[in-house]
Amino acid sequence: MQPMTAVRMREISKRYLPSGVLANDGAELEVEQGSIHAIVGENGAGKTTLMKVLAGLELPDSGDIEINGEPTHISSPAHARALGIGMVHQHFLMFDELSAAENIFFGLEPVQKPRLLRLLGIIDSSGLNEKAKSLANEYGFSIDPSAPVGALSISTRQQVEILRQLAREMRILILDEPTSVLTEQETEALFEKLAEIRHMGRTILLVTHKIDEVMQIADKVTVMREGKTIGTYSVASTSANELASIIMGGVPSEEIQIHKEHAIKGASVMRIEGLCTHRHHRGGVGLSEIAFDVHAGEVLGICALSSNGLDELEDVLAGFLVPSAGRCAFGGLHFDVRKVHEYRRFLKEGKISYLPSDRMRRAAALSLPVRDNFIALSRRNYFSRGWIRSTLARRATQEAIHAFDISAQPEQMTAELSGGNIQKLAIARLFSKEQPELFILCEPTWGLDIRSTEQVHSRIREVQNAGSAVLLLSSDVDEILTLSDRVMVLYRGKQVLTRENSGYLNRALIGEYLLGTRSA
Amino acid sequence: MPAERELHSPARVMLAVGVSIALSAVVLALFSKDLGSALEQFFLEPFSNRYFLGNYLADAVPLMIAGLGVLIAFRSKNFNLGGEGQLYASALAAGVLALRLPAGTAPFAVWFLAALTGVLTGAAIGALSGLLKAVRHVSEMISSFLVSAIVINVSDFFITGPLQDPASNFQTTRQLAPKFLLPRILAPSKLDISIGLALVLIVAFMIVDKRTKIGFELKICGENEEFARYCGIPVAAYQIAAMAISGGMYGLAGALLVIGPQGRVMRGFSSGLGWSAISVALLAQGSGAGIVPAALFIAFLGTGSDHIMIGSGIPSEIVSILQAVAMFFITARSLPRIWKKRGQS
Repeated sequence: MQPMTAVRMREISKRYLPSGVLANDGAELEVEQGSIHAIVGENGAGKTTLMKVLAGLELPDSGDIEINGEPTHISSPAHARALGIGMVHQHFLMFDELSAAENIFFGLEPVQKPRLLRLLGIIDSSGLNEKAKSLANEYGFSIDPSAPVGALSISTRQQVEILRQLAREMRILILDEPTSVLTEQETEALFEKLAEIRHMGRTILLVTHKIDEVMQIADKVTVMREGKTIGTYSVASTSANELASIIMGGVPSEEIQIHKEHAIKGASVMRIEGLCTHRHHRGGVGLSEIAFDVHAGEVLGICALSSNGLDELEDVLAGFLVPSAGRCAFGGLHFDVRKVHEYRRFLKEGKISYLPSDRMRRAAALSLPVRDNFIALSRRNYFSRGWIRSTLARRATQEAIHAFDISAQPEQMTAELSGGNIQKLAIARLFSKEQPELFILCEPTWGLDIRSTEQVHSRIREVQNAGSAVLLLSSDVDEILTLSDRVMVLYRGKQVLTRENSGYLNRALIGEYLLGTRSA
Repeated sequence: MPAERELHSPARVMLAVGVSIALSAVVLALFSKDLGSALEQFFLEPFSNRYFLGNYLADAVPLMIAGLGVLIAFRSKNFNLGGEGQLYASALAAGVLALRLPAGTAPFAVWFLAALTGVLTGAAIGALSGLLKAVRHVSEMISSFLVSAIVINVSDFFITGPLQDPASNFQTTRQLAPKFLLPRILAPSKLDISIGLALVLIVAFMIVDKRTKIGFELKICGENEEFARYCGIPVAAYQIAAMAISGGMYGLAGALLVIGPQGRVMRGFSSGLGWSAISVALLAQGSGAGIVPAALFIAFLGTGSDHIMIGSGIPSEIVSILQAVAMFFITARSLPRIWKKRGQS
């Protein structure tokens, strides 16, 4: 029997106004029911826009859509939901203060049995937790239904988001780069669950950058480039290399060198000792007795699975979180880390350059133009005696857009950019500043495609060779191994490994430290 | 996110203005005996002669100044709901000062000192809410509203108590010396030279907003506070400053009324101005240039209403309905989306 076509999209075009960027240019998509269908392409290829059209979040300028063979015109997210289409966003849209169960069943809450309470719409909260638990078990998820979502790790929040769609009987699930926030182990677990969901006859659309994931889990894959569909391929009859060359449009990708050559270590730039934080910041574990130093021309890679202290360390290093104890030496000064304003001065003066991991919340003002976002961090250069130097600002933005290959215009609203392009903008902004003594880079290649990742990696090597110290906070073990001179691993807020990145270290070994099965 | 920006479309505002004017005509038709003359009184009379036009423009001046203050606070995502009290108390402070100055003081010095007193009084009250927000995380909406409620009652006490003009039957302070009042233009109307100051302030704001570092940093604070902190912008300082400026502008509007059209501080004279200024800022949709037409429109609703109230005997409650209808349409956010969907189906 011929498998049913769940989704058919034809000649979809979408132009964002007022910038006039053509995000989809006659894109095509055909997805079989009960399959996992991957959509791949570089940053700004139009993958997310096409999915937003399917989810009713964007109205296409032209094109036809059929769902389960029925021609339809998806006019709103509510309409898409009525058609059984649900989207799990790259940046989760949830109520942080509500519990996992409340988020999952928001709008579908079971009410109390007694008639009066039911009339008043009083929610049966124990029944709610029960229902969430049984739904989670059905698909092999493990969540605490009563925990407030804001306190959960990213991977658990993602599970909540997927369960929310499943609770609404969505037949077609769209996942936008679901693994960009997950570690290897979490990704494995997610894929098992996706296979389970497919097994139950549901259709999954998976937007991703990672070819190995496509090969591992997808049945078919559609490649997009510059808003157009290049083709749809059966995963069984194509190889990872073939797929990579189709995505890159025939441009050969640079060789990735795993173990790097060791740079000459310079003087110590920053030394941290006895760093501790209180627990419960962002629902985290708290840091205890962290100590490290980083030298000029050296990359210190710090790695941890989610909820093991990496977020807290980032916030301390960003000057957003006041630690409970510790000492810091930087720029010839020794001070108590609790005196945060003293530390913040180095960030402000540009001696430390910091790239946040949460690019949407901390690294951009989405409703301002790209130019304003670009100049925001080095206002000293773009304002002279308090007046803006617009020509200079525009030219510098244009140059950065060119140098970092960002699909954007200086006047364009930042909200219109794809997640990858916003990340590239944040990186371009940092590397266009005068060179600092220390870089703190958090998840610098999150959600970036292969080519952009390589670009960023070579930039990091450049600044390292030019004598900056680099602290690289990343949950991507490959990235840590590729770039770091020394590697540090955090587990439950403690430092379980600090070691030279020599032949001794490898993925498997680091994995054991990350999971706590091996300790120092 | 793209949908967010549709809110700023001028078409939407024009639509709201158009609909509210049309509905006003409908309400007039329902309640007036002679629709023709009511319409004429409402729409045309404010422009019919020098006196009416001058009075109409004079009503728009405080709305421009205070509306600009609200807009500046909006720009940094601060909502100043204490305008009533800020304006009233500042007017009183400016009035007391002007009454105490020796009769020989140069008029220019009186104007300057009174305006300055108004600005400082309003700014101090506004800054209090900004400070509470920055330091204690108290919602500036609630604190400014509550502080305003207190300040109004305290001011009432002074006007009707120690500062009451014994010679007057009204609850008011003494009258200022005529030479201390701002020079009138379009006499005999109450329009004075403060309209020039209002326009200068609006232009100055537009320049600061578009071209200066302060304007830029204020915008970033309003758009994304966490990003502002990442950029090293002193967020707390901007919060306090935005509330202080907003309060200061209300204060200036109050002071200018006292040394201008009012000439004294009468109990409750500012009633409603604080809220109308918020309407002006909403209507201007975040644009400095938009303040002028917005203030003219809101002042027009008030003036037109006064004319039919006097001319056709339509009760003031009906007039309030007209204003409420207009505000309802202007602040309705779902309007463009409904419109858009219609266009497609």
